[in-house]
Amino acid sequence: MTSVAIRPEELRENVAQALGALARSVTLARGEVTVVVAAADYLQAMQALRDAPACRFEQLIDLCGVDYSAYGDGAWEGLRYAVVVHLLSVGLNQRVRVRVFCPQDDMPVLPSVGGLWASALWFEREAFDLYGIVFDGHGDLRRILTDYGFIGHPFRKDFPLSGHVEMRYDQEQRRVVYEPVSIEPREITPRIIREENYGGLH
Amino acid sequence: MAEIKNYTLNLGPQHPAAHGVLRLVLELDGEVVQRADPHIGLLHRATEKLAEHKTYIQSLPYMDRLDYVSMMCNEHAYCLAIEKLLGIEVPLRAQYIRVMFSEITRLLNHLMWLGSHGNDCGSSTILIYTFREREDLFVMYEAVSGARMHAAYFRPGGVYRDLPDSMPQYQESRIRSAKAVQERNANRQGSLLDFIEDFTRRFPGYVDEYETLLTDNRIWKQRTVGIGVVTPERALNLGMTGPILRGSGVPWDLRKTQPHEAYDRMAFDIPLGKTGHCYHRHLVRAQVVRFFFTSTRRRPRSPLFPYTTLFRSCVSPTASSSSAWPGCVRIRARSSWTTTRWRRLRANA
Repeated sequence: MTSVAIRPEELRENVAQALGALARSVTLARGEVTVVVAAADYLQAMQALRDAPACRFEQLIDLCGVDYSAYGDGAWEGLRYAVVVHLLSVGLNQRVRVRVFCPQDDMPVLPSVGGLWASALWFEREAFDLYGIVFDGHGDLRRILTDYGFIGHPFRKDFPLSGHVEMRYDQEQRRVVYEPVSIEPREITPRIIREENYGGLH
Repeated sequence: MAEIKNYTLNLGPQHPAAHGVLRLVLELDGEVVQRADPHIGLLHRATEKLAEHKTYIQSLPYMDRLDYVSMMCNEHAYCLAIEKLLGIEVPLRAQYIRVMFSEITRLLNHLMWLGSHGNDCGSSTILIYTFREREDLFVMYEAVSGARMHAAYFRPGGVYRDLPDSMPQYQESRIRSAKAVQERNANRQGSLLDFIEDFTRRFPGYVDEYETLLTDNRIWKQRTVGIGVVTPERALNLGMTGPILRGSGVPWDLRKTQPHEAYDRMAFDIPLGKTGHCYHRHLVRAQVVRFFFTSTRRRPRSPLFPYTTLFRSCVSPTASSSSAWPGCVRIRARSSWTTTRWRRLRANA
């Protein structure tokens, strides 16, 4: 099991103290501290986490989007999109996870934290590309991973696994052409049916 | 007077120096890159989306392919995550096997880096040298998993199977006589652990060859010293980790700071850079390679440890006895972390 140098209970206290009313909740599960903040307090809370002497999270290790629409097989009633950030303090050897929900489902917008950590800039481009979350104040919010001219946000739950278009080189037109996908979605989880006396083992 | 403008140039996505498919839109002032716009998505496979539609075990082989030069390390992270979520305790033997193969993977990775970096800087010899050693490491991969690269060897809860007792043998053929085959099979007579031990005995000599080729080489230094300087603050702000961060002189290594598996039972040193330029990143990685045989022959502190053969001669060259490393004594990263020194550093941080 992973052991972290600082005691997670202590870290939880420190984070809760540093954020005060900015944090909606500070929970501890499996030795990891998770903070939930409101979108309006997001930037201020992140700044506090970076600068507070007991936090000093000088590294942003990961920022990703999450689509909750299929969470718990439809049991989820809250907001659809969230951004989850993982911070690391090299100086104090501690980590924290910050979750912030985007206030509007049809137009998810959050402020950019690229001014605090430069590493956030590409991660925010990724979250924009894959989930369609817009980061206000980013400055260069282009797609980063998908194809040139790609339409849609592929990691949203309503985007099919096979996508919408496929690409091939057309001999006659002598160029690459895009066409609607020709493959059918298929079930790949094996259904294991064992016969009596399978393999002569019993 | 002529008006001079910067030149915009497209590099890649298919370019021998791009190693894979990386496209860079570069803005050049003479030979100096002023701006670079990397297009990094050409190899993106949406592994997360694929994993959503599969069981945990079915997704595991995808992890090999995330970074295809550190296959088992990716599997390791994936397995550790599942184990943490499910609260699985991994048997000690499996922990040691995973640590050993993580380190073999690290070596594979760093040899790939050293060879191709040298190749890009104009020394194709080093590429041939490092790939010679990678071959032996692939043989180790193949012996445990059956696959040379994409092993799918680590599984949630342990590994796919125990280490094999015998190594596969070369066969006599029309182009290779019985005598030649016997020679090639000489280090394959025992178990996999014997094979690894034989490798760790040969390997220091190979590292001396790399260092002779590169570390003190004038051309190499001209092309790396003072290039791409990253200050510690900038490195942290950019989210750098691992050898790149250590190249800038930040003492940070997960195996020491947040040890997982059996890493806290191991004695090993970690090199630390100073100036954060390309040459120091080279030194940090090159010395990790040098420390490798320290890591596979790490001193076990647990009496439960079963691999006495592997650890038979576990006297490891430590950072302080620099005379044990001919060829890399004069120029090297500021200091290496011995375990005690490491504790002191962390205590003062």
